[in-house]
Amino acid sequence: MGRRASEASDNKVSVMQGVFKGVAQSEKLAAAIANLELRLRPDVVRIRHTVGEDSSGQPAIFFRVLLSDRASRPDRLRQVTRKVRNLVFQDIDPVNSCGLVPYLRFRSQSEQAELKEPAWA
Amino acid sequence: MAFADDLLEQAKHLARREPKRPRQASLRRAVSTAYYALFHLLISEASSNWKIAAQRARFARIFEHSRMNAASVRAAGSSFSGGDPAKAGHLRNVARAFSQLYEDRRVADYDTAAQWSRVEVLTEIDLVEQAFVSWHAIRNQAIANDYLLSLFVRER
Repeated sequence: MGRRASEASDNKVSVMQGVFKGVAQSEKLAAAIANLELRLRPDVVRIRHTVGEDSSGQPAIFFRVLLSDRASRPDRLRQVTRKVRNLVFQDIDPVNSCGLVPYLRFRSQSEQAELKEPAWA
Repeated sequence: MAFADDLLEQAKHLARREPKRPRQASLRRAVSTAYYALFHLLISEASSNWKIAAQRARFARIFEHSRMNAASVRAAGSSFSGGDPAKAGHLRNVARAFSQLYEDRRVADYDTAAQWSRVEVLTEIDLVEQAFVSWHAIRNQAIANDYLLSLFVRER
């Protein structure tokens, strides 16, 4: 095999390794989020996430956390959201585990029922 | 009351302005105002370290949102190994709040398709409130002053 063909083959291997690493990483991430969702029930109804770029062009993960109406009450909201944030930063640690800047938004179940946004469904 | 505190109070007022059906305009302005509360808190703290009082207002103009955000993203992900874990935790609270609000302020100000709910906005404001508390806990510490410096000095 000539040098060019060998380099092309090496590049292909490295791209494929990157893809596999990406897939493995994304599966691991999805499993960690599903596990977190279970631990946070019944306050958290579900957690949706999207991996993309933030407004600065940095790789980022956007979490959409749907809370039960009970957890969204003024006397509980602060405590619940702080717990969710702490667990995301400690257990998932998206910056150090995947190089993703995390962003979290919270919404109540009844708000989502009114707004009907597919990204939160 | 300082300007940053006034902005935080205004953000809370906007978030609760319409008790039944909040207007998107109120919710968007609340997110934006909460961001600016933290932005101005940090700028005023950095400026207060400038020795010549008459130059502080001009000094405050050198801050750029994007550079402050880049520094905050770095601080938010840092372990600050070897330092006091409690102080590091407070600084990460501030940096994470800045990074989150920087992103969400842009959505609130420019993305007209985005819908905001009151809970979303109240949690953003709570993040800033928490950042204010954390900042006051470490404001005289070296870790806080290093962070302030990183907000306007270009990373080499």
